Amino acid sequence: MNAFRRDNRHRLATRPTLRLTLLALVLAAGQPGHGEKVDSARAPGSPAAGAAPKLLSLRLHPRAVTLRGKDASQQFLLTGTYSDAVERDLSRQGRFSLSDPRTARVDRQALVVALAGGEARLTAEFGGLSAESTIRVQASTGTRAPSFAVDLEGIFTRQGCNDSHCHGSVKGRGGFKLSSQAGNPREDHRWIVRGGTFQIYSQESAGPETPRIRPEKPKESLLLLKPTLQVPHAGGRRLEPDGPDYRALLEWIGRGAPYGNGVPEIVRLEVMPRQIVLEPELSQQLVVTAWLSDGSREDFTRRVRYQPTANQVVEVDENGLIRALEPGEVTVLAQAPRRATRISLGVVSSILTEFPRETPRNFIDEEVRRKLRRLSILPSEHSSDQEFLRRVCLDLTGTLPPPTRVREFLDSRDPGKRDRLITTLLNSPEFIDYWTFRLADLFRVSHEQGGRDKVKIYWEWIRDAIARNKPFDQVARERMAGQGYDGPTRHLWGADEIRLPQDVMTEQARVFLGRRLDCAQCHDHPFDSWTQDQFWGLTGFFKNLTYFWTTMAAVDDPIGHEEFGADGRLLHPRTREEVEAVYPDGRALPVEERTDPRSRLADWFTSSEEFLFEEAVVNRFWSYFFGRGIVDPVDDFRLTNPPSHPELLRKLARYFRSSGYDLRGLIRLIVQSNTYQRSGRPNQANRGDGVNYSRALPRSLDAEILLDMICQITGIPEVFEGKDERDYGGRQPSGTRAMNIVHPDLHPSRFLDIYGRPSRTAVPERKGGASLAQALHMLAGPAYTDKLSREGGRIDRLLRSSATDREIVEEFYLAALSRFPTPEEARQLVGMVGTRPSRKQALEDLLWGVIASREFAYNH
Amino acid sequence: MILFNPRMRILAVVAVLLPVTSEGAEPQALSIAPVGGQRGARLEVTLRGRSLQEAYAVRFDREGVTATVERVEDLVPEGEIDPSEESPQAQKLTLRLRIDPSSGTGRYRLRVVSPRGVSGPLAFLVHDLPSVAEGSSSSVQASTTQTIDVPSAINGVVSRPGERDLYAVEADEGQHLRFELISNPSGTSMGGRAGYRGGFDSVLTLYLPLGSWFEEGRLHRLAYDDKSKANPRPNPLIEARIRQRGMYLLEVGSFYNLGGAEFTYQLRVTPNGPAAAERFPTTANGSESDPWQERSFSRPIRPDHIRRILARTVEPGDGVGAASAENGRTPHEESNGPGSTAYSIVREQEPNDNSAPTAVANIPFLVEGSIDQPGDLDRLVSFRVQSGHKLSFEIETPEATLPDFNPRWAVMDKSGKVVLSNVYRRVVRQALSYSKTIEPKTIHTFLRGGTYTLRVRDTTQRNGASDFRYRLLVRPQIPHAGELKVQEDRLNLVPGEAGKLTVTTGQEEGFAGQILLQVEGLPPGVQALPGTDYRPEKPPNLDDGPKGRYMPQQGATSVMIVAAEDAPATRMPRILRISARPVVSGKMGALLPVGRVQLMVLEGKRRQTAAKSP
Repeated sequence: MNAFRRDNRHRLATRPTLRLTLLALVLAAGQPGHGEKVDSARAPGSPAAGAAPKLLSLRLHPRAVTLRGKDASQQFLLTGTYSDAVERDLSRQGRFSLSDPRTARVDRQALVVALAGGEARLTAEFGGLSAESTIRVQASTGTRAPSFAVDLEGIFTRQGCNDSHCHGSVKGRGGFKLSSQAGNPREDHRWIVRGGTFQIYSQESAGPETPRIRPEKPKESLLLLKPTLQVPHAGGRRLEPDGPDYRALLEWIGRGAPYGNGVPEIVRLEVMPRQIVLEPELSQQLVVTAWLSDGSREDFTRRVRYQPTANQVVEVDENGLIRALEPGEVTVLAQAPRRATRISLGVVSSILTEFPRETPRNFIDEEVRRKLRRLSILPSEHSSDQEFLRRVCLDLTGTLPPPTRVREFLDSRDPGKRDRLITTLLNSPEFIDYWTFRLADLFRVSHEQGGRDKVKIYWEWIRDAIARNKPFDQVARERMAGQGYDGPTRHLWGADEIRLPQDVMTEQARVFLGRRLDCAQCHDHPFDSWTQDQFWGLTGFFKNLTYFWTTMAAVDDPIGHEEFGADGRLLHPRTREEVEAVYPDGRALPVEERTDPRSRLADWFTSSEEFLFEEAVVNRFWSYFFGRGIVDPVDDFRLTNPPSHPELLRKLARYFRSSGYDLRGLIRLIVQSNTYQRSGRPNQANRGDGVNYSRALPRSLDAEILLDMICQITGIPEVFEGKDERDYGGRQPSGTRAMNIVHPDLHPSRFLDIYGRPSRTAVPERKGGASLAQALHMLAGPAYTDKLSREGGRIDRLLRSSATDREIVEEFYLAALSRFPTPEEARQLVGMVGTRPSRKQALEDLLWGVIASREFAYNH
Repeated sequence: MILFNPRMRILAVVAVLLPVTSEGAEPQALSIAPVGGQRGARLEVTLRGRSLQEAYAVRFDREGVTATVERVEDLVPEGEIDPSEESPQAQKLTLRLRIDPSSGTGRYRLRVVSPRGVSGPLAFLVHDLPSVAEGSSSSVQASTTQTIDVPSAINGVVSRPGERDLYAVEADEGQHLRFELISNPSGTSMGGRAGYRGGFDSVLTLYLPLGSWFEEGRLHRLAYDDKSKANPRPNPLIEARIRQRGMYLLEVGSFYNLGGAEFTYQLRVTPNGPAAAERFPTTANGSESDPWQERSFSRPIRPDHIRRILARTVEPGDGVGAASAENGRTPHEESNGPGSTAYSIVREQEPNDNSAPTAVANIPFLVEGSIDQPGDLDRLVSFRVQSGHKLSFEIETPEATLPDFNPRWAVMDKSGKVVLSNVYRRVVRQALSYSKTIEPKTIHTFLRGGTYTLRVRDTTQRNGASDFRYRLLVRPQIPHAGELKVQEDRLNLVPGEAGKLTVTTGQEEGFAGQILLQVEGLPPGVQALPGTDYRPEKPPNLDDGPKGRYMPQQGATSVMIVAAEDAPATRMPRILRISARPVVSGKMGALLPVGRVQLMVLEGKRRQTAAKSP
């Protein structure tokens, strides 16, 4: 008996006791995994006590390196491969030696520093094995001239000066502004060399310009006095007076603080190793390499800033050494000016050396399994037929299977019955209803936003897209670039005018790119690489969006938006220059393509080499089936919020594009996978896992779906009254399901509000948490009380029939939970009904207990 | 005859009518059911309204349908008609209708006549389709739903909020069917309740009761149509080719789930195709002549268009004579009329979206073309003007029209610069908000002589189809009387009372003369006198833009209809014919129809009327 079943049994005592019990349980219900019974079976492959793995080989990274100039350095990484198939870092344990000590020196941390021109062989030894690398020192070429954009900004980045909480914040701090993550080095150079106070809406300085450096007396520069606390500094001590960063700044100021034109820029950062699994207390050395625009490479291991997403899991020092603290999963971000890379890292309590074999259904299973294996998380077993049936029906149609279908499915011995059911559901009218509801939510079909006359064609457009399985890139294209008076253009409207182009753009980016760009409207994005210029460049694609009052037709017209003022131009708030359409990669929209800019942007969305659109879409749809996205939240793709399964996301995105953006195909792929069809029952290894899809996590149902289910179970439809019949419309026809209401905001519902029906004035975010109001509603709300006792309902029908108590209990379970009651449940419940003076009252209590249970209210 | 001219002494009559009491309220006809009948039929119909007691006659505006009043009953207010305190008692009038077998099909407007006066009109549809009355109950079960034959016309009503009416139709594989819903065909005032273009927010849905894995009786939606505010087509329409033989279900309802006695409809189920359309025409024939329209995309530009404009002035405008002299021919032209009122026709020839030289047409000319596909841009024709030349541009969309087809034309000079278009842009509300509209008529005075090119496209780049047809007439301006309307539909006067008729007059293309109004058909003891009204001044808009280019000058005058104390009562309404004549420099033009008004002089107690001279 699982936790849900226990819930039911508890609730079927007397009503008052039962309801108090319920209250406590509901309040605790928001935690996934609450009350779940753990499969105590020992995980296969657990390491046997005392069996030490044997070192099989050593590997030294990089295999060859060229150091340019004296004092140039390179961090090395020594990795050992062991007999348990695990790779372990030995960089701090190995013994290193150089064949020519005059060329370079090496320390115990595997750091090699150039001394003089020449070539040497680096040898690493450990456990009786050895590995080698070649080092070439080109001292004659001299040291690369420091660049402000790379080297000086690198210091500000590494020390956190340009962090969004410090001088990299919107207005800067203490009168000193640096661009976030060194995104705008030219301006940073100006604020340092010329001084002045930054303004958000102007490029001009707000106050007198006092330089932050004194080239004639470099040590008296504010840029050095402040971070060394020689004068008060709210940010505390950031530089040691004689440290290498201090010396670099001092030297740069002494040379007149040049910007350093023509020096190479960082093209990309690369880190080794990219994925790491550690046991607590173990450590791992990183090696970060910068690829420069002149084709050369430099070691940046000690020149980047390391930021783990969870400080309790690991700590990282400035030399790139990671130390594991406690089990968990974390991403470490390595930041250099305008470039960053990340390392995915898991800390496991023990490493599994063997993993159960399972035939993958598709690449989803391969990718999920790969990570589970790497993190030594044992997945749960395959779901039972009853688990699968209820889950897939709710996920694909928002509808519970009727008892006859449950019996039919559970009785069937057809090995292909799950696939057949998936096909049936995908082709059902209920699928169209449900996914129209889903997209109407995402696309904001709202009376408040567009007025009732505009809303209905918008909703119909969505429904038609679902019914015809319109390729989703076309759906996105029509919504982004729609013109005229038709469905997809209606969301462009506010109360009675076309919404501002920046608002329209940010919504498209959120819905179709999964990115929240709003911050970048006023300043460079504090947590991502999006700049204010990129924001307005994207907005430029929407700047000619306007409408003709005659027909409410949306068009792109040089006349421009109706609110831009007399000259009809959209101006960048800071530069006051006219906004032009510019792709995020900096390419301006060619003049000859400016007649239809939104279409060109839609082209870019759906053809970018980064697969931004595809990743955002598949991630969002993935979340509908697993309760969380591979990137989560699903509309918060950013550098500092990486995907849990990057390769899976990559493959899904490519699959989606290659399938012709086939939404049903994507859904089929997902629900056919073993990953989707896992049981919700945890084992010892995956009990704490909430992100790696090692088991099915219970998901609270959307308010509309839950209400429809209650109506389905009780047999009493909900009556949706109109907000105001004269102005907004009247009562919905009898039998209308909550998910099929076109204008949710015109039909107030206490139940739906309590259970989290969102407003659609912004892109809705549904939060499935439990609340006290829900608990009280379960006790006294009409959905949980009146519907049970109403004439013509399921109970009334069963009472009039000749069904026995056992048959009624069975029907309740089949209808609501898609399973038969266990013998114990049946015995207790039938007994309870038999002892109550009123059979009707007893059955009402029984059904109440069923629909008030977490097993009913969750998809699991 | 009354000539309105500032130099004339005007008798101003200010009539203050006290609130109408229920006792003295004029009859109101609110709905009729059924809303139509087959030719040759005799049937009983129910007309609902207010103040219908003592109604003794029903008057139709056309020959072919007659009605006798059978009885009048009071309605229980609740649930029938909005029982607000000020509302007079609601009644139900039972009529026996006889439709002559030889009568024409179409709309017949009827009015109720009683001692309280004549009501506003309701329309009754006469058709050739077999009539079916809505059944007493509708069910979602195909087996129990009311079955209808093809062809037939079902006259029904969505009588309650949230009601859905279902009908079953048996159809064969390959059959082409047309399902059309005419909502509120009688033209009832919906009182602002989801009323769209005279109808209500009707929804028509076609289902196939296939069932589903979840639900045996689940309906599969095959087609759906509703009537949106901006949709020029007033009625939901589904045209279907049946793929499999079986029972199909039609559902009628209100999109916003409204309902009531006035939510009447006629559902027409006919075979689809041209022959069927001819046999069962949807558009009813009007009983009154179409009013003159100048500011509509759907008004036809006929071959005699210029002649008809000239008929609305006293003498030809300055430019028309010049146009006559220039009226040469090009290979694409053809003449549709003799003399100076003819215009040549230039037909679009694709490809024409390049920069190749275009043919030069002489003014006046009409270009015909279509935006065949999304993004189509038609560079059509060039024309020459002299400095100071005044031209008028009128565009018609004979098939697809707004909001689907938004024709946008532009006149470009030799450098390609747009000097004129039919986009009217002005400031509304506050200085930072613009309103932009596509206009069907534009006038312009060319300050520079030279050759100009005309270009047409849809405002969007997404829309285009073979029925995106346009006809654009370029002609010299002719100052003339434009659209003329009388706002009132009827007057019920007690002897000694005065009633007001408001006539609005459009003055087109710089028409600077006067417009003389004439009222004919006055019964004995009733006369028409000029009046003035107090019209509160509106604050000026911040920027009206080039309003004169896109809008006519508008005037409004009041005509007081005064019944003398001893004016004899009229048992049946009289029809007042309001006409107008343009007057320029004392010369009068032809008589132009303005409208018709039903007038009754009532017997009974006189209502208080105040009148004074200035």
